[in-house]
Amino acid sequence: MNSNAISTRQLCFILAFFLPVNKLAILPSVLAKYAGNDLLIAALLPLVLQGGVIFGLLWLMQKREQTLFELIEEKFGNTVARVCYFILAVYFAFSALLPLAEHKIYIEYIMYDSLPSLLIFLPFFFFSAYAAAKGLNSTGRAADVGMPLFLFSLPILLFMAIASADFTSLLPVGRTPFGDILQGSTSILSWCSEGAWLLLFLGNVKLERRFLLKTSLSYVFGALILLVFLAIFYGIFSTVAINESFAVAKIARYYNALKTLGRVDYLFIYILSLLQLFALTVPLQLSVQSLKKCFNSDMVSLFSLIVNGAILAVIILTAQSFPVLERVINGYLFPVFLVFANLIPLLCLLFAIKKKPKRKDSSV
Amino acid sequence: MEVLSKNLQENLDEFKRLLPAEDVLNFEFLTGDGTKCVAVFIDGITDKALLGELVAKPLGMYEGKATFDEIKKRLASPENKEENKLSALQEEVLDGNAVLLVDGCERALVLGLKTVPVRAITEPPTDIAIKGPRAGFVEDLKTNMALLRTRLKTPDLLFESLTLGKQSATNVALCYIKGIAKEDVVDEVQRVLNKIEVDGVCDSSYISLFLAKRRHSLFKQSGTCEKPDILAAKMLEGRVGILVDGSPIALSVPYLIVEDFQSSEDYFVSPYRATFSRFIRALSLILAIYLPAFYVAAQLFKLQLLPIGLLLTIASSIQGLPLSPSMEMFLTLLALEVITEASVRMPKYVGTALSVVAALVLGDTAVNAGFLSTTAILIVALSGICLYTVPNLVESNSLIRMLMLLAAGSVGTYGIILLTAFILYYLFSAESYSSPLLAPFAPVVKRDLKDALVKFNTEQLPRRPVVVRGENQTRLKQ
Amino acid sequence: MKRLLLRMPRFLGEKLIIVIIFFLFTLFFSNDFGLIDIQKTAIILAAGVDKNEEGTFSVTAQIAVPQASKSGGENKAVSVTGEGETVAQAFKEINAKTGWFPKLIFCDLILLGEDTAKENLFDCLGYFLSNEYMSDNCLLATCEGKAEEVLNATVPTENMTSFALQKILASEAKQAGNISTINLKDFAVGYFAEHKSGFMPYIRMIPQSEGAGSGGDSGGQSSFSILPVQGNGGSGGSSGGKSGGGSQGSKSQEKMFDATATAIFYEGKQVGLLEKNQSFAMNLALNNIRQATLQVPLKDKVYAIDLTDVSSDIHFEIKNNNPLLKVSLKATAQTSDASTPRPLEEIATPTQVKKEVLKKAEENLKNSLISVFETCRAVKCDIFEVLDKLQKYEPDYHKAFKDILLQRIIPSFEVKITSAS
Repeated sequence: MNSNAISTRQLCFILAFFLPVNKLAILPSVLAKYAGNDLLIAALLPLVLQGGVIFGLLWLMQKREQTLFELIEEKFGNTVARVCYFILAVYFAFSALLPLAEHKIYIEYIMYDSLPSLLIFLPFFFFSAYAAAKGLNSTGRAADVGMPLFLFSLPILLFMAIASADFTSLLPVGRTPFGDILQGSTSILSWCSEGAWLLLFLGNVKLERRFLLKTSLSYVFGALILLVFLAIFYGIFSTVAINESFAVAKIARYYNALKTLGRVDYLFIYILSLLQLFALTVPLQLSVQSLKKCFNSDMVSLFSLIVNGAILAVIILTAQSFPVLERVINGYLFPVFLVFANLIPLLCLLFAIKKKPKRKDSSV
Repeated sequence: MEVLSKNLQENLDEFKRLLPAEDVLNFEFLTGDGTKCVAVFIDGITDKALLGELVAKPLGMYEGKATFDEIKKRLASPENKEENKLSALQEEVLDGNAVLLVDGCERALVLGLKTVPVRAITEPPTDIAIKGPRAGFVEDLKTNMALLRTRLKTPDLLFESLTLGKQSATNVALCYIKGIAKEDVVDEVQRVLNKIEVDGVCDSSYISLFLAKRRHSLFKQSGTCEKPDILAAKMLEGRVGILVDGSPIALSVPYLIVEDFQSSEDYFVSPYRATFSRFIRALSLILAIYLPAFYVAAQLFKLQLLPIGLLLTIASSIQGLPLSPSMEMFLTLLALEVITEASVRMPKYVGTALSVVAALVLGDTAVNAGFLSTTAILIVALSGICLYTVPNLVESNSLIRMLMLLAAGSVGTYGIILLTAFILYYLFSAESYSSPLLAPFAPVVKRDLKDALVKFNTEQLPRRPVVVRGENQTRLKQ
Repeated sequence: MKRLLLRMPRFLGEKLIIVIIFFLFTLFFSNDFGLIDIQKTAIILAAGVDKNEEGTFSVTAQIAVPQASKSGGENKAVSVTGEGETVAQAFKEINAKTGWFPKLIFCDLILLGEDTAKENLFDCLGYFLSNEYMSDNCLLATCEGKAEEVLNATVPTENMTSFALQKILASEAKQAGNISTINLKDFAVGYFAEHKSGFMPYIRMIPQSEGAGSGGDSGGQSSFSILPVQGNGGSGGSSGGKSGGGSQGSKSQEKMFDATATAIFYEGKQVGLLEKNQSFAMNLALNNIRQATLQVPLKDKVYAIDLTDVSSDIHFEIKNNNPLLKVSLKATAQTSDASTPRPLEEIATPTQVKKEVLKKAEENLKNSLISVFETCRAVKCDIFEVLDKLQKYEPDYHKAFKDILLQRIIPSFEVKITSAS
């Protein structure tokens, strides 16, 4: 096992805590827009789909301690593997685009009283350029720190919010036309594309006892937290849910004690946004790692600068038009996520099943 | 001339050439049979009384033939060795030992009569414990080694001596407990120390710079302590200690940030109290670093962080101030740093007066003159006090506090969070001799968490910390 | 070149911090990228919206004005009015008039004038609802006359009218059943729901007679809405709390507020008014009330009984193709007071409430509930949200009943009050 590998525990934390955190801002209102009170069903479909893919990849991880690169190289040769990694690098950078644009408007709302200058967001790229150049080892340690950050923020926010929620708003269940629910599901595919992350984790996880059980349960935990959050969100906002874009920052503000204490909920929102930063950098790190493998080079900093520079350029260009970006990506480009986060992992699984298990030391 | 000759005068001339300083003295005396002997030593660092009592007196009384071997037998001093190389003898003299030259002999005797004016063993000012041992290290290496030895009476306690510094020739002792310390860490420290080529080592902090893998890091990469009991405890966990002659501060590696949140007292009080104290330290540190920054960010970018009542109070107190909130806080923090710097450097008695002037006169006048607000002063004062709950991290944390303020004043709350994320990511990849700096939190080491922020009972800690220990893992048989 | 690139990790790792510090220093000392700090900000505590005859909006913002003081001291407020075709324009005018940038983050009350409430409120509430920098848990209320007049009124108990109004409308008052407190989000939820109905407190000003410590009856209104005496900066009884907009009145010009009435809305327009008893009954039915005081006139006496553990159940079902609504109220009572002297045994045993008092209380409450329902039904206001319940619990009947539900529904009311012992 290479030194860049993460532990099973860290993978569990990534699945349980990193996966839900970037789905708490705009996704709920998008779901509410299409699926109304049946947003849980609309959320469940992509979550189950992603869950299946993740389970498959976890199984593969347990069966064969081979990286994706080695799998492709074995089957199609080194050049194809490199090309695939280049495509993956582009995909990971692309998949980071919408969450980053979303993050930009989210922080403009939760951290400022009036619309700030674009300049305010630029320091993010100092951080991401640095973090993306780090290996999976650092991602794993970020996940370790992410655990207390998560447990000390979201559950407390949910606790503050739950008293204001009227869960009967979710009734009647299943009355929304299936077409609308499906549209809701497809419109959040870009948010449920983390299955692809596991492609690069293949062969880079130190396996422990009950690996599959622990990791699968972690994913289920993360998905359940998201569903609980969505239920509380709709319970609070019901008919005006589509207007409530930055859900996680709003759900706790009806808590009675805040009248006297002031907005202490912001403390937990900020802790959560620290975790969100860690989660946001994961696809960028994976993109850099893919480029590193593709070019077989150690110039990770250069790759990091290229990836972050490209995203920065798009962010600057689309600074004032997030809705357009969101519509284009979620409305027209969602098949890209279907392919990379679902189809390709399934293909990998098929190829791998046909081969004999092989164990050897590996790197990303 | 590299070695001694048989001619005493020639030898003395050579010594005079090598050591021309006036404090290098020659003590001439005759043995009972009239053989001329000369002891070369440095005034002040060699014990003259012992030289007379243990060397000159027994030799003067010996009336047999004074051959070199006979002289060696007649000496009453316990620590003697033969040497004939002039360079080695020169080093011994500089180290405080006396060199005995005998007429007609090509060899000399190095007499271990070194004496250094040693400060009394007192409680160090930075490691004060209400309960627990009070002895602190002093500037003498031998005394420090003895202090450590009295606490670890095991044959496995090993000292490895080195001399560092071209000009200072400072003695450095590497100490560890065989089996408990990781062998590769010991080897690595030895390798690093042997590679050091520096003019002088005035203090252990010189060495800590070389021990660091990341030279430009804001964070220290070796632990420091001033008490033998603390160093002994660290070595019992598997760390390697480094004692430097002339420095009362011992270094230890591998270093984990969490160890600076632990105090020796935590192990002498109930685990509940220890846990509470550690949480207080952590919370204080968070307050010290973040309070000024959040105060500024709230005023400039996010008023909602303050409850309306407090906001109106703050707004009242800053009405008409000539400075922006960020500049006000920046200058107040700068003033605090200046006062701290001055208080440390000033003579003790002036320092007390300075504190009064700084705290009362300056602060009050600044507020009355409408230059600063009371809230800003209150926040800086609170932050200043909180910072010293973890004294070993003051240097880096006061800089981080300044950086946080810069981030808050320019980018707002987001700047604070980004900088925090940046620092954390930096620390994720930082390691001290193969041990992650943030262990046992990142990566999580479940077993070591029992003595991190939360302190478990001693009987619940039967094994040494996973990240620093060597082969011998058990410290408590249950 | 390659060497340079290989050295870049070191650059990113350690030299990047220098770049960051330089960047931060530049921003820190230039400090000019559109930030609006506390001194340039108008902290709006309450906003009043009036609709003018020509269809424009007058927005009155009550802005906190911190007084320069070392110790904080007593804060004052000014009311500034701006006009515009839209609420946003009116705020812009306030900005132009004062030079302060209006921030609504602390706006905890939106007061709607009488004329504003007559038309669809979402003409103006839409602005507040869509403003991401404003919290939608601010309280909503409508008032008799103009909102501007209410916000400019001088109150004896507070420096700032908005604080006085917020105290009346606080959730504590809601929990006592006296005030129908509602926030912007809940009102909007009702408006955008299928029933399109809602309610909010209706504020009347009561002139305060000179030297009076408490409000007397005014226009048949009860005086139990007397403000809690909690001065901000110790202003109890002072009249110089306001520094602008409002009149620097003497005590005879001071006003108290009564918010016991409830305005009811359908499709965003005010369609009726529930008076004190109706509002009280409605609040008992809709909220979880901890403790409420009910006045029961019986023969020539008036008893005051404390209702505790009030539980309500609004049950909707369709039986035999008939929509049925059943509102049940259960409470425990004990006597707290009476208008004439009572024997010592009665005073000593407050938990033993006379049966006839209980019966009368049940009867009164039941009549009030019927009156609430019928008043609302007459103006299509679905105060018990039966249309919502139809959709949630009887979705199969939704299509058939949604347009005729309020007319067809058969209500029944049950009130059960038991003595505490």
